[in-house]
Amino acid sequence: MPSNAKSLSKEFWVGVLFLSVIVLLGIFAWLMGAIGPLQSHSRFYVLYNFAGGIEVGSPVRVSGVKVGKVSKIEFLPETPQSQQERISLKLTLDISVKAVPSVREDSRFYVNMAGIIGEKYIEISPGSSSSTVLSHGATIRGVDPPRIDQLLSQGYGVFGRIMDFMDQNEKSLTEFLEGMRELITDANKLLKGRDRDKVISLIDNLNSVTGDIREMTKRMKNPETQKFYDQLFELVERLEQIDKPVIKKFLQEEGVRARIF
Amino acid sequence: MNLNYRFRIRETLEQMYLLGVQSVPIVFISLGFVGIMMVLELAFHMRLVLKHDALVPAFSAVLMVRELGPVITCLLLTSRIGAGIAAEIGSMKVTEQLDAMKMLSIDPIDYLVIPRLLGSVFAALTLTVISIAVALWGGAFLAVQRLGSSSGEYFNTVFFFVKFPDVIRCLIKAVVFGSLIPLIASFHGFRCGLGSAAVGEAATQSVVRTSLVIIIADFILTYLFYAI
Repeated sequence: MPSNAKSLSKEFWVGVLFLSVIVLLGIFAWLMGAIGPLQSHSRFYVLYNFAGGIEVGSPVRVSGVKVGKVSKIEFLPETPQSQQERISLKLTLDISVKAVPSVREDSRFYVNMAGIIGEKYIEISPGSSSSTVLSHGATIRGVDPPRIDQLLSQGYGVFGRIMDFMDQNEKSLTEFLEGMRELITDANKLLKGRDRDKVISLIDNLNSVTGDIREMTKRMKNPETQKFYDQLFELVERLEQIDKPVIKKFLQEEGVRARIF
Repeated sequence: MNLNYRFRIRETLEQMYLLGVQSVPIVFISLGFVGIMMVLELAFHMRLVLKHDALVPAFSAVLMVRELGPVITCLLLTSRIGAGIAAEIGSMKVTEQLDAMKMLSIDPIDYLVIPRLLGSVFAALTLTVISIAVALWGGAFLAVQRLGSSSGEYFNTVFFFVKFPDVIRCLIKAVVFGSLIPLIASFHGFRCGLGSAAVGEAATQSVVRTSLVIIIADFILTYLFYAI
């Protein structure tokens, strides 16, 4: 019997070790996002033309809080519908149901970068309360990230053309710069030389004129002035309606042929 | 009811206990210190080169899960059980116990090698998982104590970079290494010459060659998993 007890003890410890490892593996899988038995997810499909480094497993955040991950990336075949706007990628996002009320029709799906080595994730901006909440399985067009490689390539081309232009028009550019230099020198002399007082006087006068204009416009906004304008407008209207034939006849009788009204 | 008839469950459980359960303390202590040492060393180098140690948990965890976890664990197992298996089978050969088994119609491979193979695979798998957990815990302990990082921050960074497929590949490595240890040790035991010196030689050769084969196998598996 002692032998059996010892054997049982060994089996017990083997079982304990085995179960401990199963539990540890379960914890690893849960922490690494491979399983989430207690968490229900909602699935969305986001279309991109360029995913900018997103991979399967990349996090999805709403307002900066991690709420899910990219579970699948598919390459779409070119279809007549997609010819107008080239869409080549379909990303499947699994998002926690807790975050779904924030994901609405006017939410934007950006590809962002975080951390000092630039890990990529999908940031969803919360939609407005007036728009409806996206339903499970909805397909949304994401916001393509800027392509740094293309920008660099285009920038390289632009700089190349600028260099060519400068090489071809070196003489004209030199003359232009020389003219600018002379202009600045003359302006400097004007400001520093004997005409300095005149320039200061000119600026003072300009300042005074703008002050007067400001005062005038301020008065024009006065209620009394407004009332005067209204009365003047009314008077002119009455003259036009009542006295137009009389005035016209008078002017014609006097031999005036000018057309006043 | 004869439990030993087909798979020799009793011997297999015995080997699982001897190779797996009894190796837990040595793996626990060794890998705990490896985890601490790795964080300390990586922090020093990253501060020296990058002036920043935010990614120390990530690098140490990736290194531990992908390479050091299974390799160090199985090298420890090699030194602990490989020599033992070779010496045990070698001495059985010297004392003609193997011949006696054959005369009793007991296949030595079935009776000696298969239980040790299963026990070693079990030990390698379980101890590798434990070693990773212990090393991560050791690293987190040092990161909290010395690097001013919180445990939440440490594990967030770790689990951002270490994915579950890495753990699966790590377990595949453990299975391969765990299989190699008893196979090579048994091979040396069965080919042992006569005399006690030959038994010692078989044990030494077993440990040296198993260690070498594990490192080469690790290179091949890493190449297959990550480089292709």
